[in-house]
Amino acid sequence: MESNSQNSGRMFHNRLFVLLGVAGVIFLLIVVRLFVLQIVNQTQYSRRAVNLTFREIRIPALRGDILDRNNTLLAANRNSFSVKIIPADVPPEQMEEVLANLSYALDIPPETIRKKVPSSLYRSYSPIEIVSGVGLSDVMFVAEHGDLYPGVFLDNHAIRSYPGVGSLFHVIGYINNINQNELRFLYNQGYRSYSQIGKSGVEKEYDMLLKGTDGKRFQSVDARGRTIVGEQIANIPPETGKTLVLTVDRRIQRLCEHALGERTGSIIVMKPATGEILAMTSYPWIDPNVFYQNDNQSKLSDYYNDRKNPFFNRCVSAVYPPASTFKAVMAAMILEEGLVPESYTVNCTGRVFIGDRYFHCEKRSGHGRLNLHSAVSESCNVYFYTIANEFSDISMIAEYAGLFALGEKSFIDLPEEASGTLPTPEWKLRQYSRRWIGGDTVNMAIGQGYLTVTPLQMANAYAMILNDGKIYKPHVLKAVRDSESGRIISETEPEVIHSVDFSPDTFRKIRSALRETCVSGTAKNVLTTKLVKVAGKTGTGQIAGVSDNYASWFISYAPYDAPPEEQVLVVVLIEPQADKEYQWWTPFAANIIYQGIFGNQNFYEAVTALRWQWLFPDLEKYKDE
Amino acid sequence: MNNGGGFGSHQKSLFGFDFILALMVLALCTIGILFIYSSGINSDNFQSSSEYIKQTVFCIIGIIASVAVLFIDYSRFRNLAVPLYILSVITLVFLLIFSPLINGSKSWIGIGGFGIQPSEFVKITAILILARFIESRQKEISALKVFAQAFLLMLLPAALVLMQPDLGTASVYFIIFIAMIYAGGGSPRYVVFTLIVVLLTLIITVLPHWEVLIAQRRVPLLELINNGVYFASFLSFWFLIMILSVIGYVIYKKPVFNKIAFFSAAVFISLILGKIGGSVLKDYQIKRLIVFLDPRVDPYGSGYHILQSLTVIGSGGLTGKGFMNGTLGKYDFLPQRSTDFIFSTIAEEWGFAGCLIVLLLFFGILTKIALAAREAKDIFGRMVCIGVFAVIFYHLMINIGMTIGIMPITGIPLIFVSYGGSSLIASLISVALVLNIRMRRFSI
Repeated sequence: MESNSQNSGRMFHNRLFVLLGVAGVIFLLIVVRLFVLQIVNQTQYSRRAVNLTFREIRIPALRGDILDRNNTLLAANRNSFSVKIIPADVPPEQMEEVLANLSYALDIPPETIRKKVPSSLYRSYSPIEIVSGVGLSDVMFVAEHGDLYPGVFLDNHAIRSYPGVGSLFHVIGYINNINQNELRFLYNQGYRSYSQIGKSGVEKEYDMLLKGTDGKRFQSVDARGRTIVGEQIANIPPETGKTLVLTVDRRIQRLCEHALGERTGSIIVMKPATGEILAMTSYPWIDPNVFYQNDNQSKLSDYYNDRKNPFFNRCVSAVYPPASTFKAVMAAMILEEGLVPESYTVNCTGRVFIGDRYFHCEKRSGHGRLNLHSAVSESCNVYFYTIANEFSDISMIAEYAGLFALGEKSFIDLPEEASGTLPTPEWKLRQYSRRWIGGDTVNMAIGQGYLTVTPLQMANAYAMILNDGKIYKPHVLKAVRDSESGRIISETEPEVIHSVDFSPDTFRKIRSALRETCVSGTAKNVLTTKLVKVAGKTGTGQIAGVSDNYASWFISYAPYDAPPEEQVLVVVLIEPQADKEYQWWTPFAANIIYQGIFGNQNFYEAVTALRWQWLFPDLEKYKDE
Repeated sequence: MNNGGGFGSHQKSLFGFDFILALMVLALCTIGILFIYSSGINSDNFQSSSEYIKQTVFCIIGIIASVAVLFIDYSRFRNLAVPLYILSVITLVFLLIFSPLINGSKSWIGIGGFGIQPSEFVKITAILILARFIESRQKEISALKVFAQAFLLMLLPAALVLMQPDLGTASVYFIIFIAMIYAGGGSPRYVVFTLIVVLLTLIITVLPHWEVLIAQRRVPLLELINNGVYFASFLSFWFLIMILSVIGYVIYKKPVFNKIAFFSAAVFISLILGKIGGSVLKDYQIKRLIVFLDPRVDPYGSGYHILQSLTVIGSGGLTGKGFMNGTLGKYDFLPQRSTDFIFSTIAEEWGFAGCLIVLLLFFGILTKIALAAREAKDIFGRMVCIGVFAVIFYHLMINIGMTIGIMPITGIPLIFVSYGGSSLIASLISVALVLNIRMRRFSI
């Protein structure tokens, strides 16, 4: 045992020696290599270090354009010039003069320039930007008198521009510098701290397609970082981002924009048979071009401080009680479950006593006896209170709301979609620690209470009525095109995201009740357009928790008697304030939109054709659009 | 002779403290902080980075942790080795599942604002478990079974790190394994066999890319690997040789057959592994492995770092341009100049003389660790020293080799010197283990 361990000790010493020997050989190799590099070839390398080192310069890629469905330009890149100075290239005795000249030529206060070029940087070789984002005319003088401005040069780069974007802000969005948080998640997708990134809308949703790939230029520079002219080594050209063609039609968007006017709310125009969004307006909105202007601070802070939040896309991110528009869902339930025969009538006296209190109808004097068809067109609450209370329960109503895809996202290709709330007794217990009561059920039957939806969800639910049970995925991207050749790379195909197996009769009966609404019901005498037959449903609901806030709906489609492929669906929502101002406006807006779409007229022509000039005292300003 | 360290050893321990080793390590850390400071200075002579402050803090944390380690008798780590190893494996699995990708790899755990790279600390637990394993199997250490078990013990963390993906750090576990099993008494046959297989596998993996990228002409012999039919026949050929020589050995008992069988088996296995390696590794990874052979073939891509580094080092000359007077390092010529390429900045500003100082410090540290291994009172202590020796040596060889263009680009930092908290703290703790073993070298 003793000799064995001595043996192993000697063996260990030998092997340790081998390891140390290997290390010694490698050390020797490193030293020899360093000697060759630093002593033998030193002159060669130091000359190269002075003259021939090259630096990688990024060539930013152009961002792809965004077009509407008729190829109208919605987002593009605009040439913008910036004036830069390399202080070390200015002879020191001329510095004051050059700065003063710049201040005069560019019309900038001398203090501003001096703040950008402090004397501590007079020996710096890094360029300093004096102004940016100005047009060629503003820098013309500097460009033509280069000899007056040693060390000053012009730089041309592209900035984003949204010509005539108007209320399309929420669909298109805007871009800005990437922030720390985004960078952490997106570093691996090729984003860097200097990247610009889409912050909302299509610019955010399809940023990867739009941004393109930066190129590189390898430039010879000397040891102090100065460019050696004419010594360009190699180029990897940048690749422009893809061109996106949207489903929106800017003509229809303009109609919606003016029809909504300055009323807080939103309008969606959609093709029910494909899910294409033809227009999407949400008021208030902002002008994204402000982000790229000089001296934009006060305007931006106005936007950020606006209590109505103009950044918020009310079409997909805001939730409201569906109010009476929910009666279409209730009608489907009554018909599909056969709760009562169609001829069954309820006598509306203006109110009904359920549980421990009275529930009122919109019409305080009462509708008298009415069946399902007229209960929908007259929007009688008492009918639906009674049916819900006597023949159904919350689980059945919630099930049917779910069958119409309420409470779930449609995954439209826009960011920040809300899912609304589809309440159930379990949900209420979890959320409020209170039991579900009978009053909650009858409230939900008329689309009030805890149930909330987005305007987009209601558009989808009504599209299902038109498509006999199918909902197509709503989308704003129509096609992706190569920016150079214009070749179409991909096109969005209609995709069914939700379908139910109701009898076609159910849908036909609801559609006929919706038509009745516009002929003799709550929306009669408003849909005056002669071009198409309109069908739809009104609704006014109180926004829960905010006592003075209302949501006023009109969901409609036209032509009534055409197949869904030829129909358009229009959802108008307005948030009237305390005095219920403009609560009545929603069907009026829809009427103008239908007149414009089907008469191929602009806003001015449509209003004139409808003889509604009296509604718009300042109509003349829309004349030349 | 095992488990000699009792309570009594504590009194003697202070006299055994290796001040010279500790000072040499601290000298390297100081040089590191100095050059992290220097590389943070931009072309306008402004300090634009706070990395040097952070590195100083990491260094202090590392020293405090090391002092704590010194007070624990290292024999206790023998029992801690197994739970630490299990914890390490769990952490690495956790990383793969939950960690976000940061700079292309899943190797970070975020705690508050700080990130920790657990794979740096797992190196220590790998050394501990292998040291314990070799000690406990001392009697049958030259058996194939023990060799294979030790291999699997290191393969597990290595494979998990490889999936992050971090090829460089994963290769450290292989070096730990080879150095420790060899010094621990494993059969040289198996060690040599493993080394041959790994080297051949590497070569076969990169050969097809080498043909395209470096040689830039058709090399007829390489058809044996590239062409599927030729490859199959080539593989069968070596398989046949292997079988025949085994049969020959069994019948005639001549040692020459044994040697042929040994070699043909190595080639056979390497061919298969190399083919797999070529398909598993991404093109750019293989490119990074071989571009050092001739960086000019890709001067704007993977060769960029090497060319710039060579220029920077070469311009340093005998005595360099003086501390903080380097120009090339400053003007953004050199990427990652405080981490992977810090040696280039040292070489530029302190020249050949400064490089010699750094290399001598490293060689002194390695010699001291080897001495500690020789004097260790038990096999566990010995083996831990050898593991630390291997890690330090491998890091400096690969990192410095990369900056002077004789080793592939693997992203391994220069131990003690490069910017990086986890790496610095873990390496200081491993040195503390060696100091600990030396302090308690007398068994009482």
